[in-house]
Amino acid sequence: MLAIYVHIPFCKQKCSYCDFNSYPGLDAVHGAYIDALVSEISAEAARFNRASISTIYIGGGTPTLLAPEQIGRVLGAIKDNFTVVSDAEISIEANPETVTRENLVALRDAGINRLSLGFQSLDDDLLELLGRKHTAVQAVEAFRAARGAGFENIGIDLIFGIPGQSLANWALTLEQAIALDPEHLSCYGLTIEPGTALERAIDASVVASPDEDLQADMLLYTMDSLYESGYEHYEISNYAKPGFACKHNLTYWNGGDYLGFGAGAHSKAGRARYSNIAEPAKYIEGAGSDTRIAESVQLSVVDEMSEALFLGLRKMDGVNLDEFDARFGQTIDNVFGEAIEDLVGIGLLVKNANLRLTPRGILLGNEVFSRFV
Amino acid sequence: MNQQNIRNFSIIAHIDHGKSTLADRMLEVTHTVSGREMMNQILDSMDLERERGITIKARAVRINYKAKDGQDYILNLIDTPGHVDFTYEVSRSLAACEGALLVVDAAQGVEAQTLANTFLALENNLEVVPVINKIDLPSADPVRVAKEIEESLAIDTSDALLVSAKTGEGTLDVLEAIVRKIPAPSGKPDAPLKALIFDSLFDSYRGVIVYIRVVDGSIQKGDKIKMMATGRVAEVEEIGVLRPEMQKVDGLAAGEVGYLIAGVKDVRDSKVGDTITNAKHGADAPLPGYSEVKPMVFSGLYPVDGSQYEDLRDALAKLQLNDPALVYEPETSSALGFGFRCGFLGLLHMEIIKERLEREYNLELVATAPSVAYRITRTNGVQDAIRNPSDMPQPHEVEKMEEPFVSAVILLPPEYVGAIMDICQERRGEFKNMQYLSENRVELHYELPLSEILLDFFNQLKSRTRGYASLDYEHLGYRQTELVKLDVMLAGTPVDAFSSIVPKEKAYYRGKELVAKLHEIIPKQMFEVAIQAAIGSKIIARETVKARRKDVTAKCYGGDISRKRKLLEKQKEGKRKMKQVGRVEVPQDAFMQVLRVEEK
Repeated sequence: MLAIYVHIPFCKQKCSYCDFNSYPGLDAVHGAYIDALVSEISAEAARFNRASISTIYIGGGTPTLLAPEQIGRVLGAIKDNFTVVSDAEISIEANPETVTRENLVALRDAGINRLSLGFQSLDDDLLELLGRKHTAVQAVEAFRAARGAGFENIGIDLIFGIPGQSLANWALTLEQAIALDPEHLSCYGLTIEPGTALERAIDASVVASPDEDLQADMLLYTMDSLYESGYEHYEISNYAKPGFACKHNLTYWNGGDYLGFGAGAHSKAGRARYSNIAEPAKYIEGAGSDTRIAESVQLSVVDEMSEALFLGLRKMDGVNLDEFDARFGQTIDNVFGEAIEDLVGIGLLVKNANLRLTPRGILLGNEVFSRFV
Repeated sequence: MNQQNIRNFSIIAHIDHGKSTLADRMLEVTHTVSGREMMNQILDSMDLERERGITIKARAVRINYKAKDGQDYILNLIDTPGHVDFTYEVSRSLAACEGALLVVDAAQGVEAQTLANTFLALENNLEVVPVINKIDLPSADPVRVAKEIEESLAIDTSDALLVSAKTGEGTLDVLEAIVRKIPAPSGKPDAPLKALIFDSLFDSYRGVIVYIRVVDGSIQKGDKIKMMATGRVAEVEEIGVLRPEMQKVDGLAAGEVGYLIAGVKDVRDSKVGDTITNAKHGADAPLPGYSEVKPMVFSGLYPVDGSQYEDLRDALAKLQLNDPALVYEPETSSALGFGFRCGFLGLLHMEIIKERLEREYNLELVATAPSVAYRITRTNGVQDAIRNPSDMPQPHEVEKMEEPFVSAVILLPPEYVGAIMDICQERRGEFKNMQYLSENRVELHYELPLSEILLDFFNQLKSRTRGYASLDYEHLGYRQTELVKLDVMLAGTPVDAFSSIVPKEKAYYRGKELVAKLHEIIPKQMFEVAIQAAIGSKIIARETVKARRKDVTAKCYGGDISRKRKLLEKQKEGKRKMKQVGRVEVPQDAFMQVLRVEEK
């Protein structure tokens, strides 16, 4: 079984915190880009022998900048060239200002069955600070339109720890999001990425730096609040109603194989990891041939074991000791005994049948993960 | 060549006033080096020197020049190190000359260091030829600068040369002035050999190369020679001149400058300032002015990774081959492990050595805060030099404490005098006098404890005067003082490497400041870290570094695991750059950083 990720590197305007591979002002190449995707998909399908596909995830950028027919063409190409299982999870990311009831219906008709809505916040001032092109009202309307269009699996993406955001403000946003009753919530602590407009604003002291202690309080609050509302915390930043965890993203954390199509998309097949050229124009030129590949690495067993931990531990279930043993032919203690003992000793990990993060370990995940690279 | 046709000279100039550029121009117009082989500013040959724009080791170059009088001359340019730490080396280079060009920037004017070095030249009876450089600058003000030279140095500037080393304007005038104004050497060609060592360096292929100025007599290849201060006897294997590359000759006569190689393996056998004479029937007395160089500043150097201790020891031994001013001895610290207490001529010397060790020998080092040597007389009459705060005896064992003082000259524009007097006062300085050199240049004279100059004094001076102040100082000897040992505890454990010896009257203030600084420097840890300063058992200041609460990447980007891995590797690398002190991770440069005090 394989997962497929499709990257749409287009947006209307760069958000102030965003360092993803995404570019405004490329409307003219949308058509050529879809053609390139289709040719990459069919070329890869031959190599992967029409493999079975369990999840498809169309991310960006803002994929919903494209017309539903264009999305339909990409999905059609995948279905024509691979074997997409009947209950496959097929997600798309959408920005509230880009969706209407009509195009949502069209997306459903094209085969999309899961929608990930980028709310980020429900406070208009904070939305503006983040450089978002929508209001809180538009976000809520987009959600209702999606329900109206028949989506039964909707996720909402939120960001906490935005400069100027209080715990009370975050609690209100979270409460309003919960009130919409989504199946899934992703709550990301804001990271200031190098090269972003937000970083420049902070460096120029125009905007306050995010407060680490406050972010910690917000994360703890989120965990409690969503637990009480019936959501399972299944990954550091992800919460879902039972049965609605994002299967596609779990593939990454479980070390599964996935094919990434599109500019800058990443793939993993067995021990090979490779990625496409990030720049859309160059990707379009090279799509369908190996010249589109920007980087390719072959993982060693040690790399795989290290990934099994620093990715697996992102899940609240953690890493199952027997499964690790079965997969690599050695016990986890054999390989990482000293680090595990230290981390258990300082209360960041707990070890029984599974190795997993403690609540404090969730807050200090990078301290844990960096011990395994 | 006849001594009458030899001129030996140095160039005295403040950093950036154009010494190297002027030297380059002279080499160019005399075809000593062709433009192409001229790696911009050849006199500064070490990478580090070039980066910092300073000359650390003296070099010499021989220039052939046909003067306007139709005669051929040999001009030996002897380069001098350009920093206060190297005053002794400068004085020996000057002693090898009969004259000096005093190069002053036409816009900047006279600086403290220029003054100090010109006084050294005058003490050595050199003819000083004033040269006002950079006259092409729009802000050039040669009239004011000439006045400053007259006021501060009492040198007649009526025929000062106006040049632009950058454009080459006036270079020939400089060469003519050297021939006309600087006296020819006047040594006795038939007397027993007396040659002054003005520099020596270790070359791994050729051994020690000694730079000499023959004063009396002559020296040939094969001669048996004796270094008069060390008593070392050797045979001259090679002798030559510097053009600027080494060029063998049969011998050097009175008045000439060159190099010799004599199978000496250690620069400490051929010390700067020593006199070379014949092994048999040598001179009765050496040339005047020799003295042993003494380190004034001490710091502990420790490898970040304890397994590099041996490498550090080997590297220090190699550096010392070239730098007799560097001294070191093993020491241990409970916080930092095994390392060396090193002695340096001054702060710059210390920074250069540390940087060379890190760069050329691939070592990662922690340096403790620099300290001077305090002189302690115990109640039992025994006198000790305390170079490491850990060696400070208990107060009841101490009869008398003394610390080294310097006489400092600061040149600055008048509007900053108040601010700088404040700094000197805060630093226990004693005002001596003040003199106006021109409407916009004042000479301030203070006596200060050397330890106060180590503590970021120069940076303070620069920042309070927008970079316009310059400083020079000379050592005055020891004066009585009252000192205490200030200790630091991290998470309840004393960290010896942070201990310092401070004046009693300032201990409380220093403790608070130190703790506040550490609070800035020490990153959040997994647990709360108390930072305390103590004198004896009394805690005088405390701050707390809060525990790190959140550090987790929220999102994985569309399966980009390589990026995630790189971030984690960077984090791991960051930890490696920390020194584990007990349970606490401390940045490697913290031990130096703490003393870079920002005064309000």
